[in-house]
Amino acid sequence: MDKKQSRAFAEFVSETGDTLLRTATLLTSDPQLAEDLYQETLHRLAARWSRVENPRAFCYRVLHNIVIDQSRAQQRRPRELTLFAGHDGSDPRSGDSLTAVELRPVLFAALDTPSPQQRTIVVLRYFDDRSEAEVADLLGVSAGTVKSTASRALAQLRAQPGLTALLSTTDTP
Amino acid sequence: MPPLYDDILRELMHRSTDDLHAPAEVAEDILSRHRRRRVRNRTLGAAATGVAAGTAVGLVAVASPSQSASPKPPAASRSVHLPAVRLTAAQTTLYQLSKSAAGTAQPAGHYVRLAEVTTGPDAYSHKTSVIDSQTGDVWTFQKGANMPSELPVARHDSPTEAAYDGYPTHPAGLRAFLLKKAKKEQAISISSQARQMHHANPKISVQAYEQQVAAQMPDLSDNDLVFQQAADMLWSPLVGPSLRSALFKVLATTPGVVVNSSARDSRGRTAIKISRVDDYDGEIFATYEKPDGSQVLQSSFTTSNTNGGYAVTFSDVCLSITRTNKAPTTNR
Repeated sequence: MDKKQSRAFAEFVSETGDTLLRTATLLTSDPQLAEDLYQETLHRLAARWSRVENPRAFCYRVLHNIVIDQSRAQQRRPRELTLFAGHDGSDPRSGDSLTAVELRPVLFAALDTPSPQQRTIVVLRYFDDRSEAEVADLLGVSAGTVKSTASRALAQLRAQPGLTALLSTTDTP
Repeated sequence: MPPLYDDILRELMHRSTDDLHAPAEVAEDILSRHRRRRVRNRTLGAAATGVAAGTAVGLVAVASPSQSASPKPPAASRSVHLPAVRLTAAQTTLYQLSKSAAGTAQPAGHYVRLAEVTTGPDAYSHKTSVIDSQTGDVWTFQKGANMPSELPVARHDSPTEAAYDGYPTHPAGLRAFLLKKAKKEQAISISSQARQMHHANPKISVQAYEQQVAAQMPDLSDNDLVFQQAADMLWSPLVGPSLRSALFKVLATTPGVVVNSSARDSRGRTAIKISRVDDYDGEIFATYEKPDGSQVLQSSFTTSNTNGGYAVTFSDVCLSITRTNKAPTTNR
């Protein structure tokens, strides 16, 4: 990479890095693994930087492919969760101050249930706010498939007992 | 109306990952390797082993293979009531606006005619702007006391429709983009004021004037800037459905945004009022959106009355937006 390309690459990473890492985390349920995937994705991007038209789309495609390869290579083990014993569920104030660390296990347990393709569709559509067309293009499926998979996956997630306990809303601002 | 599940899920996914930041060394390391063209084989062997062994994250223990053999306790004894993750009513409305906006059709037509009324304590004027969607040229026709009925055409004054289509539509990226844009505009404003002052008084350098002007610029917070940029951008009829949709999402994650979903604009039209008080000086910016998210009805700002005076409101009220392939007829 020449100087101009290096600068463009660095700018892309500073704008998109956090989001990529968080997407990787949501796709793998594993923040440490996500860091490795993030690094691997950026390596592949850097190697092809001059030939890549849409770096963001490229990174999402790479992330998804690595995750798919991984899930085929190892057996899926059911996760057992021990919620932090000290958490006070009766404290009405503690809802909004549930930390990311405390929220993650419930979310990951729920996200582990759909297939890798369903999971990628849910994460890219609702966390990364990609359009149906974009996700369809990334995964090589039709927009209709993305749409129906997303609604089916949402319905499935709604039925997860852990998520249901966590997610409810009030109308007070 | 309760928020939709995908909005809650989005909120949950964001809150579950907000504390994670990409380590800066990764990009630096990669850049240094690629600059020196060193070839290195990377495998994910180590990472895969990490997953199999189980990784502890913060306060939560995740089962390792050796533990999975032990019997799971019955479900009843494991249930814990976790308090709710709430979406505020304001966020719910903004996400709804975002969804409706995404579904609106973008009308066709080379030129956009925007008819508006500008009101203030001492002023009332009627203005029609015609914008060329391809060049960004803007013609202005107006009617009011002591003003010319037609201004010289402002070439490339507005971003083109194609330019807007290129803006980021991922909310985080859009937010960063709006902030960068605001800071660039501030810098340009400082520089142009300094140059004018230097022209009037050449004894003092442009740099000295730039420092002086910069010191006197209002110290607006990032949230102040993002809100103003987003509200401003929503006003432009050249902004397409995906960008409108993304702008509402940015507003949904900007602190201090207040939403009144059963408001009316100054012409009595039903509207969703989105407003925010500046962190800096208490000025209130408000935008009144058509409930379907397709256009702004009114844009106002109200000065704060901190100097013991009265708060004063200036508004731009949109009367109509039409698109046509007919070029504006001009007397200039």
